[in-house]
Amino acid sequence: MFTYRLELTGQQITVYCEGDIDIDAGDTFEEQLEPELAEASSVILNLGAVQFVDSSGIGLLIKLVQDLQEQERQVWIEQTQPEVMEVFQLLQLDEILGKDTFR
Amino acid sequence: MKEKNVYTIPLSLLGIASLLYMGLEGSGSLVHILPLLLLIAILDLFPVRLLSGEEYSGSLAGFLILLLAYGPVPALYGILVSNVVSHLRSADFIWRKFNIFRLLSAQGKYSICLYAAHMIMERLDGTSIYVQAGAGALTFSLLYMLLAAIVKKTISGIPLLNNLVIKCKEIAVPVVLCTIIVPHFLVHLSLNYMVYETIYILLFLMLIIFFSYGYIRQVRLRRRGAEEFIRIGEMRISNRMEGHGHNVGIICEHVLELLGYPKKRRVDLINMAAIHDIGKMMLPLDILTKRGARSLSEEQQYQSHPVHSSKIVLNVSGDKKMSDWILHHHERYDGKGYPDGLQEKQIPYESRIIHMCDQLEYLMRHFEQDEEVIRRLENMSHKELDPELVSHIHTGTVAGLRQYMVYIETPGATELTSVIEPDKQQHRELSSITGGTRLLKYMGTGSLQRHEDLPSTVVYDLEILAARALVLSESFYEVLVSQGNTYEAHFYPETDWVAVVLNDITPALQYREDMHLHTLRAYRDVIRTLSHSKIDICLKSEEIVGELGEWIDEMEVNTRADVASSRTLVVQHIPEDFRLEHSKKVMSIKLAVSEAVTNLIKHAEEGKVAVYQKSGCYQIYITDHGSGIPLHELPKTILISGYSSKSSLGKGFALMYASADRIMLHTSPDGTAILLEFNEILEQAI
Repeated sequence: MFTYRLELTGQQITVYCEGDIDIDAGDTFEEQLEPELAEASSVILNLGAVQFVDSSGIGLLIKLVQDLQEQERQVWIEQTQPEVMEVFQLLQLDEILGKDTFR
Repeated sequence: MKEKNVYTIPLSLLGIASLLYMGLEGSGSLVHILPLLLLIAILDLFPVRLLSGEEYSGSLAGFLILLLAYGPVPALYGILVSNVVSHLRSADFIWRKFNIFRLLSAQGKYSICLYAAHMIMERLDGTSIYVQAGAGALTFSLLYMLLAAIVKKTISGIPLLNNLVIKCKEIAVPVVLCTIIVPHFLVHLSLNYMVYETIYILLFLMLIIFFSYGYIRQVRLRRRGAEEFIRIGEMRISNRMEGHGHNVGIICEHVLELLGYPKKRRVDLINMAAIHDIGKMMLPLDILTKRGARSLSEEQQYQSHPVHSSKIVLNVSGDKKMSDWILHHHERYDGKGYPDGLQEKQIPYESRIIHMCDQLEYLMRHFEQDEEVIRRLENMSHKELDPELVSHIHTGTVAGLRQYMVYIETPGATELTSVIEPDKQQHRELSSITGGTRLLKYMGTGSLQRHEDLPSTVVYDLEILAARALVLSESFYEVLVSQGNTYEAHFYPETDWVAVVLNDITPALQYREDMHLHTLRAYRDVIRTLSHSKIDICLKSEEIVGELGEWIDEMEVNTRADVASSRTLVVQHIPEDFRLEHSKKVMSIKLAVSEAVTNLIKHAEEGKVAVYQKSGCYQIYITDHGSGIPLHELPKTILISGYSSKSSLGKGFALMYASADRIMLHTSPDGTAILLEFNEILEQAI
């Protein structure tokens, strides 16, 4: 079950994600999270409480990040768990989104 | 219209009257006129044949000589002799075929003409003998032409003024002939002279006839030869088309008569009509015999046949015009035809004629009702066909044409099988995947006609379904299985009966199964090599089931939320100390399961996840009843790691491949089964 909590600091939004990001998170990502990020000039995705991401989840992340980047907004992904990071590396996510996206 | 009608019956009565009159008036001295009668008989026995098919006998000259020199009664004798001889000849000298009614009505016609000519010549008595002869011949011929046209009109419905110009031109021949010959005879009217003159003319005639017969024979030979080649070609193309070319030729001949097409060019056009499809012999057999719709490339190839035909004709005749007639015989009046998409008057007149004859033959072949043929032909008017041409064709025309048509020619048919056999060999592979197709009729009486080779259960089911089709009056199809055979039955209800088309699709299904196994084997080898034996494609689902160890737990998968549940299920059976010690390994197991179940949700919607153990090896068995996965994606996902492979199956499978120690996969149109194995996990357990 995927949930999130938003924290607004000026023009910057931090998204605290929690749970697993898989195919089941698709609707939450596309219908709720994306519209809520419309105003922010920079977005931080905090994955500290995410224990599991699979290829569908990575697909959702890529789409979200790339959409924001296309609108010239800054995006960072932070506090990724080591097990999750391993899956990211397996699928070369750092190369797709750019290494400086992760911090 | 019947041969005996209001018009021809009085004519024949007149004929009888004329014979009675001859008998009553007495023969006088027949000896005097014997040489002339003989001459008439010879002239009628050996008429000069023209290429147009018309025959000229000079017997009119004989009648006029008899009339002018001896009076009406001997002239009537001349007519009787001429009539009997020409009718005998047209009956091939077989007494049974001799039509006495026609003879009488012809006698009637000639008597009227003779009387009129007699009247005219009496009026002109005293003027030049040449004028008399000419006027007599003209009157006789014109009147005869008129009477004959009326007969044709009442019997076969050919319009009265049909071919008027050509006929008038043709009248010039006998008129000129008579104007020269008749006075010449009358000047030297003696028995000796006539004998001498008869022999002289006879020799002359023989010479002309000898050449004309030889010439005509060559022309016939050429046409028959071409027709025979076409027939052999048609046999090869399809038995159903046999005689098509010949028939189109015959139709063309009659249509040209109706159109008043110039006689000089008729024979060429008729020949072209007969061989219009010769180019089809250049096409591959499978295109011509294909039952369903042709593919785009096949259609293009098929549409090239007029081009082939026209090239062949150009090579044979060297006549560009004639080859163009053939080239454009599939152009449509509305411009939607091929090869050039010409329209209306852009299409050569001759091509339009051939096209119509071609269509008419096709319609007459398929529809027995003349009215139906005409209805369909008229529907094509303005679209495919030139409306002007179509307007000349009526039900009477079709009925008349039927008696000349050739549909099956039995002699030679068996010998020709050798022409077809070699091709059949080549296509055996194709035909072996198509089972028999048959048409059954359900007449609404509760029982279908019996077929010994059909299982009775199938016949029973067909009867029930056919009865339903009749009630619903809707067409539908159903698949029936019996005794290892699978049939596809299509039901087409008419008003009071049902056409049932029954396809035996067993060979097709077997063929598909064979192809599938063949493909699977190829993929198994490729994937086994690429994956270093890590991935095993199974040809049968039983192979995977045989690998399963001891059952631990299982769950149904229906929704997206079940993807997370399946991960939980899998993890909860992993011993706790292993989980703490090897968190990365656990993560990769979760990942593999997550990917496999996600694929299931996406492509099959529902299925099952089960966990097994087999000597320390943890087995996760995922099955669904979806339509199978595309195997051709698999090699790519193994070769290209990472997210760069675009397909949704790819990413998932690449992760499964990276995580699991061994993967077994079986996929078919009935569903997919995946077994993921992870070694050395459950050793401490149990």
